[in-house]
Amino acid sequence: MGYQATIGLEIHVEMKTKSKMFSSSPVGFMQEPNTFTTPYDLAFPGTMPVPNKQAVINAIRVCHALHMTIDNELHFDRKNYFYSDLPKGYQITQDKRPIGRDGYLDINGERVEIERLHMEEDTAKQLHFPKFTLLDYNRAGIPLIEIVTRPCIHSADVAAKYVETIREIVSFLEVSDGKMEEGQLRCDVNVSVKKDSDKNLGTKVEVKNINSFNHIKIALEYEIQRQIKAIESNEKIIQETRRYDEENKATKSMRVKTDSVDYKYFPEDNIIPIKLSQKFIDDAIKTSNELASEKRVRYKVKFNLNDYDISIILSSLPLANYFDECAKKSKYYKTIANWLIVDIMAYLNKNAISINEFKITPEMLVELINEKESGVISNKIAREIFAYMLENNVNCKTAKQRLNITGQTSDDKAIRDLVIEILNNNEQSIKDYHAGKDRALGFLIGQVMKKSGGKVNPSLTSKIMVEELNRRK
Amino acid sequence: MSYLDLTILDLHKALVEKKVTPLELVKEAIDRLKKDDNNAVEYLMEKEAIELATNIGEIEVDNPVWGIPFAIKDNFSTKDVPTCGSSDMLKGYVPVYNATIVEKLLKKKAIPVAKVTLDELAMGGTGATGHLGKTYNPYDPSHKKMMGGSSCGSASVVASGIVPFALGSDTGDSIRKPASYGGLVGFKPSWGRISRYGLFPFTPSLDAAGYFTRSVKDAAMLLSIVAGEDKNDFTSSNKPVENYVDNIDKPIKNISIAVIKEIVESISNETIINQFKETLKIYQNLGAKINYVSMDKHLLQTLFPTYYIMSCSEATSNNANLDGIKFGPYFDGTTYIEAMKNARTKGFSERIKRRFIIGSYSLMKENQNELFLRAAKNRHKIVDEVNKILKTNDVIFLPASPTTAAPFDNKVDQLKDEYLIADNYMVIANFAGLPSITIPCGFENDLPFGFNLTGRAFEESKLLNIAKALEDKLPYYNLSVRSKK
Repeated sequence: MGYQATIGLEIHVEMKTKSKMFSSSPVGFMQEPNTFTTPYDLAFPGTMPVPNKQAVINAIRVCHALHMTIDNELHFDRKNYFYSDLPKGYQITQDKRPIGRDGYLDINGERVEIERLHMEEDTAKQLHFPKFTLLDYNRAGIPLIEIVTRPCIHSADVAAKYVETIREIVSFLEVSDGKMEEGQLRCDVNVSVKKDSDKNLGTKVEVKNINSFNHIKIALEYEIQRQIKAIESNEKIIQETRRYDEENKATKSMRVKTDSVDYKYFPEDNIIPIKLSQKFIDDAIKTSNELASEKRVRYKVKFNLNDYDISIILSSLPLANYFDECAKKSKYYKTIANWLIVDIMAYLNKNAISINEFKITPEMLVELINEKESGVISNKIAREIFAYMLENNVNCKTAKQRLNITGQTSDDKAIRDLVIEILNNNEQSIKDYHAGKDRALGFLIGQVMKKSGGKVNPSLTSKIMVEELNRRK
Repeated sequence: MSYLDLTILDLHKALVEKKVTPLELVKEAIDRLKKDDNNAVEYLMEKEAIELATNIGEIEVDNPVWGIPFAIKDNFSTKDVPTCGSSDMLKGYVPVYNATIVEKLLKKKAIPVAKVTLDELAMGGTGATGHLGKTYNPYDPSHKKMMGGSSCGSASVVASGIVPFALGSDTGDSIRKPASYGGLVGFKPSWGRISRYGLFPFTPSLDAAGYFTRSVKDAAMLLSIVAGEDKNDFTSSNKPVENYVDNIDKPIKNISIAVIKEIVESISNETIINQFKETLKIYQNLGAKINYVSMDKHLLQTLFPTYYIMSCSEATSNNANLDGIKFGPYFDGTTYIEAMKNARTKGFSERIKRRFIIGSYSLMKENQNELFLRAAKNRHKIVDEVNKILKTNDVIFLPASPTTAAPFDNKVDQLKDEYLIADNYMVIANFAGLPSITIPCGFENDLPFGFNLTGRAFEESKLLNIAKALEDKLPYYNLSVRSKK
């Protein structure tokens, strides 16, 4: 008997705007508790919400990336409920008219339908102790976007890849760093399982508390198997909220859902509806960063990079930015990719730093690569210079001077003199060459390189060597 | 007569002429507040006021509020000064910021001398429901008559001649009704004209900050000072602030004044009706046109229920921060839910809880359509009707209340038109966001009553001009208990 799982996802993304969604308080992550607040964030009586323009621009950009219809008017509503982490006793959100509707993302050839995207404000963070709970209001009021899919995903793989793609989108748009571990991207999943033969969907179970990308797939696969097993042993699936238990790689029941909560939504009258002109929306989109998916196509079609290289370069925005900076100044795209992926990544990993902390700027790297590619220096020398640049934090030119590297000789006369000298001392190799032994040519060129200390241009040397050999036929 | 008994602008003259100093004024106001027996004070700002008056510096000739003492309704946030909205729920709460309207007056060196009472959290119209009990109407020394509310303390101290002006707030008629009972000018400008930042919210789409004065000109002058766009209040208007005194004495010839028949007809008090007719004659003599217009009586009967459902619904949400954890007294509990339940059960009065329950009920999914949304739709219907009247008329003119100040133990039939219509129609100005002013127009048995003028949105200048024209023809300029004696 076959089964089909149906998955829907709700993703909350914390934006890294300068100020909060409705207050002028700066946004700060991992700061001293209760230092990034204004009276509004603590719900002091009489304070009022003022919407954050940049948050709106961000939301428009994400909507666009998700192929959504963008509303031309902004409406906010109150979601009313009492909870200890909710300062005002209500959250300002967008209920009736979310800024984005009806979008999609294509994941592994499957279309994930996105029902809505809306803006809202985050709650305070609770720090639980055995006998009491402390509240940190730094998080209260940080802008959130919530992205809700339709129940249209049928595999853990696609679900996990979808979340990964959302992370990629928000981080490349610089809307959020999207770090799940730090709660900047939070994901609630609804899963149900039905027999292939059943018409209706099975009972929906919500899984919360998945706080790492790696856990999404594991949690979903576990939950799907759990539900299949339950169906097979004729157990009833209970509509409930479960949480992911990292230690046991399993989902655990949190609470059974009775009637859904009535949030008594109604319009937020302290924010009059805001007209979004087509120009405002267009400008937000026009000035938006290039998406990873767009870069992927550009790297492949224009730069001719392979999929592996592309995936490494696009693994983070700073890395991609570094690559793009280099690619603006040099057309040796593949070489840049190689240096970035092999030499630079090795260095970053070894020193446990990010590309942002890397001292060699794109300009400095490009200077080195251009010298090598135009044949001024050999690959071996280039690596020597690179090592020196890293160690001494100097540019290519200075490194060359200090290392006393004058550069590869492309001087025809000087190379020819060297070639003649080597040929005079290797009669046997000349004979071998004329006898059709190709190895002899390589040997002779190697001798020239050795003699010169690697400072002759290899292709020019090769050309001259062949000329001189042919003269001695 | 003391200088303190003057209107703001007359008092300003005395200050300029150095006949009196701000410190003398403040000391006298504090003295009167201490002697006052109308239970109008939440917090006496004695120390703060004397310090401000002492360090005020040189007289500013062009600044009419320089050194003028005033009172603040206790639902305006005042930095470092306790603000409780006359509710036990906020007893001991000391805000960390000033409401914008307060901040603007402080910048202009007006001197607040007291935070004054209101109906608990501004929800009420009697001035009897604050946590300190009844605030009395100074016109009735026997303390049987109400001041009206919710801005009872503000009305009381201005009517007593303790201060020349006081800040109030108006969601249904909370400034304009007590102004009628207290023989005062009570003014609420257009929605968005004065920033609401720092005003404890009751029903944000209806709430307006305003004030009581003893002259229309004072009201006009104050508006130029406290109006304007505020970055902290997204709903504040960016329309330029005018000099509202400039046009205040313009002739009102050819002005069209609408009188809504059904509202006048629902009033039974003959003194009020006769005086109303007299004032209409005054307007006619000044060259104004009086137009009797009609409004659907059934629609008028829905004013109060519409207001009640809207305001109770929003009030539940606006006061949800008062949960005993963030704000309000902490009454233990084993869970956060228990702690919140305890705080909200013990902290709010029964009246407030009743409103919250009605509001909550109206917002429930299964009731929203029938109650909350229906009220919202009806509001628009009412607004359309009123704006139709104002399309062809400059103002609507009506008695501000069907009676003089009612006794506290008054039993009214809440289903009679006199209550449903005449006692509650002023909410029209809140529904439509219109500027509206009550001015004193007569007395019955030593108790004052006022009439109300409501104009087009953001046409405060014209409204004040029309109000002043009537004030000039009546003997009630600078009316207070003291000047009356």
